[in-house]
Order: sequence, then C-alpha cells, then structure tokens
Amino acid sequence: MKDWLKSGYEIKVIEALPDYDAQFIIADKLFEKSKQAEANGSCTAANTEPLFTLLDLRTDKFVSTENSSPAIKTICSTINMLFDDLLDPEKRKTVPTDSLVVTVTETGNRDKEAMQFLSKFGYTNVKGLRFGMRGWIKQNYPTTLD
Amino acid sequence: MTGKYNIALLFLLIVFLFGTKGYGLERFDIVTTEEMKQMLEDREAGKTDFLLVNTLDKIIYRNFSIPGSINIPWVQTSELASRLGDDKNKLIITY
Repeated sequence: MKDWLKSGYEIKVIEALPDYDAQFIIADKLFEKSKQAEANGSCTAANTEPLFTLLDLRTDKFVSTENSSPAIKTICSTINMLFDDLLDPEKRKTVPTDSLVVTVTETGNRDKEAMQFLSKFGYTNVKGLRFGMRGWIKQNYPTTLD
Repeated sequence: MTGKYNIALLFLLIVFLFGTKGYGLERFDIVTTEEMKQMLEDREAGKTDFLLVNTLDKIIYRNFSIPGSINIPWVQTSELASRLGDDKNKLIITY
C-alpha cells in the first residue's frame, strides 16, 4: 500500500481519518516511566491520573499459534483489543480520555491510524510506541507472558 | 591446497549467487505496483480476472485502499472467507 500511495495512483477513500499530529514515544522513555511507576509503587501521577495506560492493539496476540506472545511488563494498566475493536463504542470506552495512552502494535506501523481514529472521539493524549513491540524487545526491556 | 581453496571459492560463489533469495519470494510471486496497475486495467477491460484482497484492518481500509479491492482483515479470514467466492482456482492478490 505504501508503494501504491507513493506512486500517486488513484486511491479509494470510504471514511477518511482526521489529520492528527501523531507523536511517538521511544521504548527508552516508556521504560523510564514504567520504572518510575514501580519506584512509586503505583502508576499514578501527581494529579492522581495514571502515568500511562498501554493500549495493545497487536493482532498476533489473538491469532498466535503459540500459547501467548510476550507483552510489555509494567505495573501500569494494559488494555488488549484488536485494532478494529476501536469501532465498538463499548470497547472504546475502556480507553481513558484524560491521561496518556500509549498504543502498542507489532512494529509501530499502525499507530498513526489508531491515533487518528481515536482523535475523532476526543482523545488528544495518545502516543504510539516507536517501532512497537519489536522496538521494546530489541532493547531487552521486561516482558511478560501473562 | 589450491584445489580445496578453489572448491571453497566455488561454494561461496554458489551461495552468493543462488542462496540469497528470500524464502518468502520463493514461495509467492510478488506483484509490483506497476504490474498491479496494469492488471487492474486488464481486469477492467475483461482481459483477466482475479481478486485483490486488502488484509489490513477495516479502519485502515476505509481510510484508503486500492480501488477494486475487497477487505478481509487477516484476523477475520475464517469468518469472511465467503468474500473470496467459490472459485478456489481464481488468482488472489493480497496486500
């Protein structure tokens, strides 16, 4: 699809996602925040909101032939859902609106679209994890099989 | 000594010439963007027939897709397989 877009050939748009200043957080920074939460013994910031919530949108977690695939180990909350589950208002409601949400995909390729989509519903504090789960694992940061 | 050296060199040459092709490329034909454009035009003109399947998430498909493709997010392949039709010999191109 990237090559097709680059070529300038016609594309079909059914429902365009809104423009959004998509920002990413690198694995180092996220790990810092997670360590801070652990040191505090709680994932709560000074304003009583969560330091961050992970929104794990990886497809392979749902279709993996293995028993489970590694996820980011943190004391902060992780919400697991499929990307298209964001279409479901009930599932979307589980994503906090007033504190930092970090999207996690396989390689960081779909986060921009997740941020764009969520922005339609008033989410303005969402960042993507740069290079996704692969970036986290590459840094040897802690994972869990839960 | 020279003989062994030559054999080793020949082996390395064979590996470099024939051993660097990706496994995926050996199993699947890859269609380039230009070829895809031509194939879509040919299909439009009735010269060929195939299914172009977008396997990305519905949200992403709706944002933009190649005209003339259908959407089957790969996580939903089983439940949406009927979209592929009954002809199992029909060429399917995924992206």
